[in-house]
Amino acid sequence: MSEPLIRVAGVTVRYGAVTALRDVSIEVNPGEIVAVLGPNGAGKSTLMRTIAGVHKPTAGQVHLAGAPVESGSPERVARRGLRLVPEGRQIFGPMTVEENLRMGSPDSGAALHDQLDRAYERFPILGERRRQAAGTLSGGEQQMLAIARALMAAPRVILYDEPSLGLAPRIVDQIFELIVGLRDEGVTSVVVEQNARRALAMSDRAYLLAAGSVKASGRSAEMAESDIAGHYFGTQR
Amino acid sequence: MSQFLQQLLNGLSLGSIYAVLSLGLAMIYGTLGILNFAYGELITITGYTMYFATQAGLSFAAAAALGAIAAAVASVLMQQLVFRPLQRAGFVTLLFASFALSEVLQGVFRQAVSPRAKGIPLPDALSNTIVLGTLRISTLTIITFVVAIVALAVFAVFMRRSRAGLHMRAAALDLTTTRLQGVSAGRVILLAFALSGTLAGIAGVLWISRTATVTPSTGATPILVGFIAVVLGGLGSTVGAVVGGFAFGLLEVFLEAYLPLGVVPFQFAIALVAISVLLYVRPEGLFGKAVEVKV
Amino acid sequence: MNGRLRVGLMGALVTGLLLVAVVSVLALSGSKSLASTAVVLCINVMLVVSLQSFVGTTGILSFGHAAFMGIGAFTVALFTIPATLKRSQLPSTPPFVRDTTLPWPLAVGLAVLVCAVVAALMGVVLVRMTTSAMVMATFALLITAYTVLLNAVDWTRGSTGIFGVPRSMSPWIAVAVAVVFIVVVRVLGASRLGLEGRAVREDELAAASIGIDIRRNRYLLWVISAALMGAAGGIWALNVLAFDAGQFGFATTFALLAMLVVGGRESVLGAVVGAGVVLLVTELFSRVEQGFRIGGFELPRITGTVQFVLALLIILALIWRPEGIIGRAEIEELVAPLRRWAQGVRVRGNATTAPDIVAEPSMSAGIVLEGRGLSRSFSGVRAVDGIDIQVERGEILGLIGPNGSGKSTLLNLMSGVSAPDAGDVLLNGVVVTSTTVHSRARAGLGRTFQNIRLFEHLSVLDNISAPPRSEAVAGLALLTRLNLADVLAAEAGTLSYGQQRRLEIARALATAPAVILMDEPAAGMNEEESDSLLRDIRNLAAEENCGVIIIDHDLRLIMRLCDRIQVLETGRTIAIGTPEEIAQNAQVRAAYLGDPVGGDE
Repeated sequence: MSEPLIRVAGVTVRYGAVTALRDVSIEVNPGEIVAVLGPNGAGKSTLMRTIAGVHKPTAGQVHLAGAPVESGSPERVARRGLRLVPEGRQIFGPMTVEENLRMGSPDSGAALHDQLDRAYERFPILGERRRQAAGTLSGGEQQMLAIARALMAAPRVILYDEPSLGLAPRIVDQIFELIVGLRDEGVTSVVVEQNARRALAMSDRAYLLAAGSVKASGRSAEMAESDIAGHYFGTQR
Repeated sequence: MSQFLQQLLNGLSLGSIYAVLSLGLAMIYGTLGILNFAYGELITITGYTMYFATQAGLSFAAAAALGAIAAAVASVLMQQLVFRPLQRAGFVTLLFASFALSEVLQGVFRQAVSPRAKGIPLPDALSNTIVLGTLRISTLTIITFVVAIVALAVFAVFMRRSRAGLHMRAAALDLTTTRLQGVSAGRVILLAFALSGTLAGIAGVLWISRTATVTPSTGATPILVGFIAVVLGGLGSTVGAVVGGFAFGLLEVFLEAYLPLGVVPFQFAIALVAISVLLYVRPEGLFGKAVEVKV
Repeated sequence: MNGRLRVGLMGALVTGLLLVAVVSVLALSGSKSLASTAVVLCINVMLVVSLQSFVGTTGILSFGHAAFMGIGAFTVALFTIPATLKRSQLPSTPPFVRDTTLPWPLAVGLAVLVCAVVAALMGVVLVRMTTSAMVMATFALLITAYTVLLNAVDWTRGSTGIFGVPRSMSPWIAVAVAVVFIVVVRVLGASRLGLEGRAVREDELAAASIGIDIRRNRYLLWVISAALMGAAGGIWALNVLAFDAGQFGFATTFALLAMLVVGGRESVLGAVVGAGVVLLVTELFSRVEQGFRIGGFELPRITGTVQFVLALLIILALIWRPEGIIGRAEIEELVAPLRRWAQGVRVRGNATTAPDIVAEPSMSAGIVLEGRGLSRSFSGVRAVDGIDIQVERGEILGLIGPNGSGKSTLLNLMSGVSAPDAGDVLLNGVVVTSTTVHSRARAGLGRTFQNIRLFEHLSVLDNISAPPRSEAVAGLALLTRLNLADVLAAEAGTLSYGQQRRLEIARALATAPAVILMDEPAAGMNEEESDSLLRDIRNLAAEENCGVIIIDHDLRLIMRLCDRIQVLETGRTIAIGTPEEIAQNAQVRAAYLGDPVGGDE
């Protein structure tokens, strides 16, 4: 089997007295969409931020394309072709749409202009609002901006942390279609979702995280909803 | 009326120095949450550099340029040698460390140069006076204002248009998300200190041109003014710092002009009391954000 | 007297004895210069413990205390200098000033009064500010006082100074007064005011949520500390026999703060040790400053060495020992026999002052906390959109919903952290919509936080003693019930995760609440821990007869614990009912698991 693009091996993350992740191992292969499901507080965001280099694991390792990630130095991880679309979008509200997009790009000059043109082609609404402060966009538009910002650097892999959070179902459909479309362009995706049904429908494989550890994993089509519901509603340990 | 206009011009000129000064201070607070007490010593460093450069026979303009560069370099060194080792510390510790750093530098100036004031020869052109009707304006007043406004404008354009400026603005909003875009935190911080030091250097050249001397404690008044302007404008707001700088300059000049003679020595105290009253009404300063939590 | 005060007093006396010992050695050495060093040491101790009583307790750096020192010194000099000398030095002062001469203790008393008045006036502005702005404001105070004293030449003669203060200090008087200062500051620290101040220093929101009025607390500490500083400054003038307005600027501020930081900001012992160390450095290097001879070589005079060395010392101390030589500990925490004694006194003191029965839980039933039509938007998004919520005494209400459904916002509206755009909050039937966090806490609303907000550097016992209403509650009994009786003296931050969660609940209960809001109490707990938490919460709700609103993502816990469950989605209530009803509700399942996709159900 070929080397996975992301390999998380036995990762434990503690903050002070709190253990957010316990011995978590997951793998993501090139070209896949992997869903990470689980109730809130399961440690999904911590897992994404650990992969992106924001947190240092207390134990275990994270590898990106065969080499260990630089924990504690998210900028280095980002430059190796990984982007995190964070929970709550985290766009730069007071800056314009175009400035937000420029933040995502490692280039300037002509290369930057090409990237901007492509972004506006993909998201015409952002083109219309390029001079507007990003904080004034609607929730769905902000999410598109966050994704467009991530795409500026033509990354190999994008981690999405709760992309559907606070969005209307129609918008969520659009976002998920976009993620699936990007797979066909060769972008690998990891999608953290609470909304299990939708996430299973759009992903290739899934991991179920609860109380900081992996409780189940498999091909998305084969994951039984009753199992997942059990973990959500506490009828199953 | 003409006296009012005269004082207005003087006030704007002095205020423009304060604005540049405060901006450099506010920048570091905005990006890193450090109020750098040793910022005043950057102005002293500019002064000594200008002193030695003119002693060595360089022209005033060359000495001024060297002075500004020296302040920028010193600012970066402060970050590398003192603030970086303390990067996990809180606001109070950092403030205190910068306070101590300020004392160390003053000690160095006293040992290495002299505890006594050193004069810096100013070109005659600076002391000319232009008469406009009833107004008498010194060349220095005009040059100061022009240089400061140009510096503020260049800074604004740099922050708006350049890639580095974009990164710094983003870092001030959200450092982690900025790093997640592949922007190096170390570089942004270094640049912020370099830029802050450059602003201190420019303000320093203008300040030294007014005083024509430099002593180990030259930085004391500028840092004081900078702190007040920054609090007045609202901690964390660069626009506020510039406005606060101008406001304090005008306040100082007008108090000096219109207060009864016996009260003039107290102008600083009166200005501070006036500002305290303002802060009672608006504790967050002119441009600061109100804190929501009612505790 | 409660246990905390007794321990504080005893610690102060032991610390004072150490000082007496050092001073005795210096005073009895026969050297005149050592004896005068002893006096300076005592005065530095007075100054720095006064500073510590504000900076250490509140955690707010003050540059302004040198101003109070100056004001105190001026007042004492002005009223102790004999009238004849005053008439020649200050001819234009009013006659009652010129002709009045007070004995030094009275003059010091007057200095206390003057400083208290100045601090009281300034404090009104000060306590409204954020902490960083406050630091700047104290800085402005320093400059204001400095310029005023220096320029009011009719009164102070500026940097020429006024002199002729009669000699009255001896090492023995000085050390006696210094011990009094140490006692006052330690007792202040151990008092309710000091304890509340330290709680605020550790965590402002948590302090407010147990009923501490932060502004009032800071105001009082500021005024008291300024008054002490004025007294110390007055005694300083009694020793130097003169007043020079130029001396209360940066250099003095710097020396004072250096003592505090080098010794340990948060400990009175640290302040005392810092005063000693800084004095030692000053004495050593002022020799260097004067220049001296080594075997025929004349070393030049180097001015400013003392300050330079002190500054370097501080930077190094901050980098290598950020909490100072002594750290946070007081003497009774450092010496083992004292430690055992102190713990005994604290526990007994707590057990005897507190009645063993909780302030009678009112047996009334009925709604204790109610939200009516609450709404709140953030930048156009309606986070909470017309929610009604109510909980009765003795009832446990679960509040659940997917991420972003508005649970935390709702909790903030009810606890007073933020204000609703529309709607009302009623506590015990009284509208409290526009009241502060601390006043709601005093009216019976307790809470715990999602990311545990304990007073980390305070002991377990101090954590539950901090709520202003805690005296009415059997703190010790609470700790025993929550299985924390073995760790009373431990710092809260060193406890295990489960213990921290339980301590936070105990602290909320120590406010004698009518209702408790719990934000994810089981987050990060393993199943065993969350099971025992469940039992605790259930027992407490029944025994204290208080209402509980609990948010948690552990639905397993919620389903087993709650009497009723209210489910939120996108800021609205989508279901209310018993756990069984909720588990079967299709809308709730959809909210959690997502809408059925493409009709595959």
